[in-house]
Amino acid sequence: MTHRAGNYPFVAIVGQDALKLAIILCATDQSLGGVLALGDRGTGKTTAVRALAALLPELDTVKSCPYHCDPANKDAQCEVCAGSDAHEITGLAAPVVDLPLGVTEDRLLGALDLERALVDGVKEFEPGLLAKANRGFLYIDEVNLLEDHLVDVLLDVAASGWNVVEREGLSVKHPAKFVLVGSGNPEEGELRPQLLDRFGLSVDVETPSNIKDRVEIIKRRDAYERDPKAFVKKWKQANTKLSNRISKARDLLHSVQVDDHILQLIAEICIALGTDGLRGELTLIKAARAHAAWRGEVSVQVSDVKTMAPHALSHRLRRNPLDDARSSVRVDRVLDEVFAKRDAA
Amino acid sequence: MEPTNIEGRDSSPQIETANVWQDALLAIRLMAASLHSKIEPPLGVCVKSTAGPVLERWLTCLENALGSEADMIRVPSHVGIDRLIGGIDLSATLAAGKRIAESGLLSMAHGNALLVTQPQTLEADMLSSLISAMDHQEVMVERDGISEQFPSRFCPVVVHDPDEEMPAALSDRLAIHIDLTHVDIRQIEQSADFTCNGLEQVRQTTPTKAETITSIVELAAAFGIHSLRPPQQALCVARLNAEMHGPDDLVEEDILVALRLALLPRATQFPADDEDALPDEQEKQSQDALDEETDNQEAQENDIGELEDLSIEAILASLPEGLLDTLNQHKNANARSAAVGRTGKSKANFKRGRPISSVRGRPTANKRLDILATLRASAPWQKIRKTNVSREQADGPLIRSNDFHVRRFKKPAESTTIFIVDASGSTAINRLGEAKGAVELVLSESYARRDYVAMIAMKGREAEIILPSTRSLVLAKRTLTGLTGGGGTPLADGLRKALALAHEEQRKGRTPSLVVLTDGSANIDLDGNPGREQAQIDALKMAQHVAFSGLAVVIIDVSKLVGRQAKEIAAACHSHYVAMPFANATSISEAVNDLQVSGAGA
Repeated sequence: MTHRAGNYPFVAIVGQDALKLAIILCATDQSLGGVLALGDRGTGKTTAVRALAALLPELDTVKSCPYHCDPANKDAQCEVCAGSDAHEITGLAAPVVDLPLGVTEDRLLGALDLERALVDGVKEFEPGLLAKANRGFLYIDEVNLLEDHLVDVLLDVAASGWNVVEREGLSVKHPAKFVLVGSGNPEEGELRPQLLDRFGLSVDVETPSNIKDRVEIIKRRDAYERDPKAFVKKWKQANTKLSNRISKARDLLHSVQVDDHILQLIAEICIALGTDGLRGELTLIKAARAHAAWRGEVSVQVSDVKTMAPHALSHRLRRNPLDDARSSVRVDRVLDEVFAKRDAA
Repeated sequence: MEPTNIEGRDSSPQIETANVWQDALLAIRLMAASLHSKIEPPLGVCVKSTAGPVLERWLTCLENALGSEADMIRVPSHVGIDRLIGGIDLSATLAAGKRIAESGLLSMAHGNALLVTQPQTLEADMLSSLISAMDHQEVMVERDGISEQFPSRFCPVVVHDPDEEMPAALSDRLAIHIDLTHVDIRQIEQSADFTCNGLEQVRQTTPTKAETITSIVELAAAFGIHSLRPPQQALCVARLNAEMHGPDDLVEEDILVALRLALLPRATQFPADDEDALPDEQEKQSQDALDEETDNQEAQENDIGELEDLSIEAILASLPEGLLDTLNQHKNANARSAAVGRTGKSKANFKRGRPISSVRGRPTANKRLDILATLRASAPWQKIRKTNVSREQADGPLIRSNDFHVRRFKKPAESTTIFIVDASGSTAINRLGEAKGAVELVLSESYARRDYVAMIAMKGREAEIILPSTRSLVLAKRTLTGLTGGGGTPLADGLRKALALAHEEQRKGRTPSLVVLTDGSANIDLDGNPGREQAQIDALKMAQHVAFSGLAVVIIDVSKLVGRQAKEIAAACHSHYVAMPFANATSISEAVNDLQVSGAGA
């Protein structure tokens, strides 16, 4: 789907603070690993994700490279780009690629270009969606309904950052580093734990139940639908301001300090929650750092950790059938315990 | 809560047929008007109706209303994803020597109405493609080497049978909901001359007062409609209705129309019976404190809302009487369709399952040729092969047998465990609690196995499917929380409904097994009448049907003193029998696991 400039503006979204923050932080630090938005129907999950494209800065890319390789990063270039030093550089809007559920494996991974092969007898690789999404975002709506064999492919590529195609006599390897953004309604099917773990942050999205917010949402939606151009124009300044703040945060990111006592705190939280593997811990460190940069601070505070812990960890907990509480509630509970213990010590 | 539901179902509402029919026709006008206007997305209609003359007449009216400019594109229930969203046109591609895309039904529907019957049979990916096209007025094709976007702005018309589930994600996106089930064909006028006029003046430019938006949002909240799409659609309906009648501002009448067509049919509660809703809330309290809080918030906000110009009371007072009677019915329907109707369709046995990548091999009866993969395999060799053949033969691609690729399907190892729980009498609460626990345990333990669970409660005069087959722990928990026990034991009806459900699951390609928690003492017969003797005879009869079906069954005897009745039923079912006077969630879930192991071996 095209991500037109006429998309509903990000700043015009009413409420949904957690979701907006998560998206902003992922735009700030792409290595955070993306957002998973789970929740009710009609809460504007898709709207928020689609609005993301307008917030991203332009990328420097090698001109005419189908994988838009980064000219500055030799380690993540395709064979052609790595083979030469003199690149013509061009700017490109960061790709936000939609993955429709009906996608076939050949379009996801890329395959032999049938037309060229049949007509000219040339064996040429036709890049798929993973190539398109390199260095950008891959958005899957209804991610919980994605076919198993496609999930396998995604997990494989997401883990390595490379897409290796060995089929129909082709042997192609190209960089495919992308941020996964997913949304879905958990009532329509569960997500595989391996895929869950791939998302940096998760957010539970709920329909606002407060009448004032609900009225405001409908009013804005109505205004947008009646005259999208005027509506986008009205919010343009605010959107640009936000986009600038994100750029500033991105510049600040590398100078943000994470003190040892913060690392210690994060480790304690993860141990108390029993999250599997180190990914949770690493993500929480990155998320807290991005949050500090977003606030314009140069060192991570305890409050950054507190804010980001539920989003970075709640989807990594082992499900406990005897504990009815939602996992974000469990994270909050453990956080309280950890802090109480610290205060006592 | 449950007993009133059953009564509500029995007494058919005495609404004026003519009014319902008029509303159904109004729905057509509104829909056609939205198709002509710039509204995004155009309005959709959800029709609850059985197949029959009333539906036929309504569809004829719809086609008349669309006139010569638009068509009604039908989505057959057996449609495949390639036909729905489009893909490669193989014959044209081969003839032309270059890739030619074939448009699917969704892009053919652009500018037209799209008719979907039996939405419950749509596969998850097709449903999702349909919904995505509705949301974005565009189809994205990323299939078989085709990467294209087609415009797809259409009015969806979804007809669903009252007995079938309506997929909630689809229902949420359809603005207008009409119910033709109780319309009498003899009482509606001939439809041949039905046309739509005045569509040209619809511009959707009528300015909307802030109060109008506020009252529509408040109305939606008062009727317990949580999603934000319905109030938005209601606003659209009201404005369209106003513009169809002339350049006047939106008036109360228009809001009433929106209320009748877009909001009331989806109501889950009624503002006047807040007291009735209370017992439910109390049960939920322990479960979900958070939800409770938001509910309270909502209630408080409602109070403030009543001070607005267009008060909810005034609007309710002006509603026709019959409408409110139907609300109880809608309540039932909504409670059930809250379950997501995402279901598979029946497939031929040898080709069942999810397609996975193709492999080289000869096509046989069980292995279908994958033409595209075959072509791909042959493509690199065309030049070499063509040098060795005559000019005539070189026309078109040359395929050798070792190019053949066949489709592979992953056989789903999916199973459905259907719990049939005796929820009668005084011991029900305990038993029910354990059964709920077992359902959740099975679900949470079985993720890797992809198991589904369903639950039927036997209580009162008939058994009821309280949890349609689902894999979602979230949904199961939510549904089971509200379940209470009491009343008689309609064991025969429980088994009958379980059999029907099991057959439905088999059609979807899953392997069902039954877990019956009962003490075996039936006291309600198949007709819903009390009486131990007949009830027991009926129960044994149904048990024999179960035995004949060859399903894996386990009867868990939960009576305090192990009795002979449950054993008799188990013998009649040819089932496993487990005495479990102190059944608990863990032991039940173990019994289920044993059953599945033995079922798989058999």
